[in-house]
Amino acid sequence: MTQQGGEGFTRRNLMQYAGALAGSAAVYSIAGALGAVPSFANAQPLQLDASRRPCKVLILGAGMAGLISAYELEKAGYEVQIVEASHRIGGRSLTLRHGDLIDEIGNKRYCQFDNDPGLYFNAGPARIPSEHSNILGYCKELGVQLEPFINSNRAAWMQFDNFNNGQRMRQQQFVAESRGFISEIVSKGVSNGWLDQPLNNLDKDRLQEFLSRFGDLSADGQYLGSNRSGYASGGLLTPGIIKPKVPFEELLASDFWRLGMNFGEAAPMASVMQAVGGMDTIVRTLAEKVRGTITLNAPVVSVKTVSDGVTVTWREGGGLRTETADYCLNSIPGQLLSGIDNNFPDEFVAKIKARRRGKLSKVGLQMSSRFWEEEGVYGGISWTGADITQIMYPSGGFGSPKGVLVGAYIFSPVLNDQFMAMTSEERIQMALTQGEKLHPGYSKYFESGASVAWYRMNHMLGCTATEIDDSTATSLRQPRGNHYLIGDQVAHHSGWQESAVLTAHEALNSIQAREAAR
Amino acid sequence: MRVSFLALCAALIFASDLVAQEPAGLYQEFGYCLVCHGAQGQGNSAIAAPALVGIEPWYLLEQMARYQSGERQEAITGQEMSAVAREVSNESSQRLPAFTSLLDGNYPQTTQIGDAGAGQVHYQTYCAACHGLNAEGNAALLSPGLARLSDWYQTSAFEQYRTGERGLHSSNASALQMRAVFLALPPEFNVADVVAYIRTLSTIEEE
Ligand SMILES: Cc1cc2nc3c(=O)[nH]c(=O)nc-3n(C[C@H](O)[C@H](O)[C@H](O)COP(=O)(O)OP(=O)(O)OC[C@H]3O[C@@H](n4cnc5c(N)ncnc54)[C@H](O)[C@@H]3O)c2cc1C
Ligand code: HEC
Ligand code: HEC
Repeated sequence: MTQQGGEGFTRRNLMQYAGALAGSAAVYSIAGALGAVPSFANAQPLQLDASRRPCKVLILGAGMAGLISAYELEKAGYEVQIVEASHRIGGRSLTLRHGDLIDEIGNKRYCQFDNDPGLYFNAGPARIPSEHSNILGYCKELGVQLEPFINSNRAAWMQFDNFNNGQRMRQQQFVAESRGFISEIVSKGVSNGWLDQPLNNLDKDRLQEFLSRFGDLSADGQYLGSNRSGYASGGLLTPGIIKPKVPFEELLASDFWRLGMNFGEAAPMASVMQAVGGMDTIVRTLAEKVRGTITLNAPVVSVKTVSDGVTVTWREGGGLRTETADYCLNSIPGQLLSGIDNNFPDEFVAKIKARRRGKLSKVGLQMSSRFWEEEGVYGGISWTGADITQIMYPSGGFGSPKGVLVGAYIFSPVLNDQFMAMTSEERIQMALTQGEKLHPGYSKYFESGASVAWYRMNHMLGCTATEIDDSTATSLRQPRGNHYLIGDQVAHHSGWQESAVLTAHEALNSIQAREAAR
Repeated sequence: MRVSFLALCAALIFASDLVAQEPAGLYQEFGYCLVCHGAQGQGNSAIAAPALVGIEPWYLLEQMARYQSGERQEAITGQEMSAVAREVSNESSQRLPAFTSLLDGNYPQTTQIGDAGAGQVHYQTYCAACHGLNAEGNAALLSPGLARLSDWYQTSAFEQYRTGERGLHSSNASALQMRAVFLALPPEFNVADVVAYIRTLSTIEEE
């Protein structure tokens, strides 16, 4: 291996580092687990004509998939009835506010935030990417107001114990330093001619200019620090003083670049919205529009296909009720459906059981002051190597006296297991203790907290279907008799409301085709 | 319109032509057990929650107490059940056997393959003394019935005794004993065969 260039980097090393900085397969798969992967351009648009006969559809589960189905079916003149096991509608689209029940099995709590509509916590979905055109279309149709969700804010912090003596740093500094380093190395390589082969066809002068802008290099192609890192002092009344350079070994040693640094750049993350006042505004508005009955506290105990229909039994007010309808759209999470009496074909049941329950947890913290805004952080996400993984700041209500932070968003299955084993008080204490490293003095602003471990939530016991391959998902979406499984759980990519909507549309398109052929 | 769900629900409860009346009190109190243990107590492998249908009252209460005291929470699944058990008061525990006696779930389907003939010999040699010739259980020996359990659960229980997720807690004499039995089994002992044999002893009909 030949060593060239002042920094002693080989070309191969460089390409490895560049690859790491741009995002690796590992990063991609983590991002995938969070929902950061495309794209539904190939989905068929919904086409549901007015029903040509009295036709009744039973819908199991009042989450996004069930509610959208009911809403569209009623528009086309179908009769719908929704059966929901929980005390509330919405499923995973859950926003917690003052007085709400957090129905975790074995750990029921009430949300103690102040009674103030600005103090809410999106315990499930928080983001609507700009490319999720169906959800966005429904927001428009239903009059649900949207506002930007600040997905990436380089003025927010990163903190990793093995970096910068464990002190926090603004993300902008980390990014500027990384780009400066990479640009300088490539620039040297271009000058020295050792990148000639791969760069043969490029205009070298323009490339040098590009590198200089990309990394904020000096005229002679060196990185000497940048105001992109934020000034050490001054800048307005007095000249800005550039921060000293950070050795690249240090940047590389921290794990910020694995996920946090590029998080806002993955496929659907570039431009993201949220529903004003809380994500559940969408499901609530839908539920208000539905005219058919939505029965709450009604767990389904049996689903059987019969000739030209489906018979469903559920518990209701101290008894069992049985109804038969022409079709059934079923969004009950697979892990729970597999404990419900049915007459589905064995292969179908086997596929349902083969899915695994995803684990995600969040903590919401009501803080007495928006101290982060005084630090110049308005919205966005700070990243840490600690178990809490991130702190998310409210994207709206700037300048209000109080605010609710997402004080932990835990993705790792192992960390989720540890988190779930804690009491609510311990979880919140953990969020506060670990948050101290990002915001010294954090705990003194704390007023009240709420934790949601989706793996333990009643009528859910998991979130997103994991370990489900494409052919299984496609097969699960095919009807068995007049029964359809819907919800993000049967999409190629679970974990997005858009996926839930698209599975509903696919089922409705199929019903349309069958009704048209009658 | 938000209020109207509640109104609608209340209206439905009164107007309903329910096909069967259930002892509402017990279902109201313990219905949430069935979110995990199957809608009729038949067990749910996707949650790793065993059947509660036919569970012996003494064993039910004993295991609830073990989950409450932390003597059966080494496994993640045990942790999950322990969190539930701690929310059940001693007073309401006393009503649990009445609740589980209402459950009528079908015996879950056989999901694993084994040689029941070979299993019979091993069962009678190594297990029947405590669990009974028909795997019906023996309260005097604190040994639960096995015939009512689905094959996947028996296999995972064995795995827990093997790894020590169950049977390492010094104050849990029953689990220590079962683990000791397991560790003393000869190499030719085959779990799948014995489980296949135990399945043939089930008195609950498979659908
Ligand atoms: C932490 C987290 C973050 C997320 N972030 C985002 C995001 O940023 N953006 C985004 O778009 N999406 C996000 N999602 C995904 C989004 O929440 C889901 O895609 C969507 O809510 C799924 O809707 P659904 O109708 O398919 O399922 P669900 O909402 O799960 O609905 C299923 C319904 O079935 C009911 N049910 C269960 N058992 C029974 C029974 N026996 N009888 C009757 N009913 C029953 C349940 O109570 C529930 O209401 C996130 C999810 C989580 C958990
Ligand atoms: C959140 C899901 C969940 C809920 C709710 C739940 N259980 Fe469990 N239960 C489990 C799991 C998982 C196991 C297996 C635990 C293990 O591996 O030790 C289990 C095991 C048990 C066992 C041990 C059975 C045996 O054969 O050893 C009993 C008894 C039991 N549960 C009773 C109950 C009762 C009674 C309720 C309601 C008060 C209940 N469970 C609610 C998940 C649950
Ligand atoms: C010396 C008595 C004894 C013998 C012999 C014995 N067991 Fe057990 N077994 C027990 C006891 C006691 C328990 C309850 C243990 C606990 O609480 O964890 C038990 C529990 C079990 C369980 C878990 C049941 C549940 O619901 O979780 C299984 C499965 C089991 N035994 C299978 C077997 C098999 C198979 C054999 C033969 C190889 C066997 N046992 C031999 C005493 C015995």
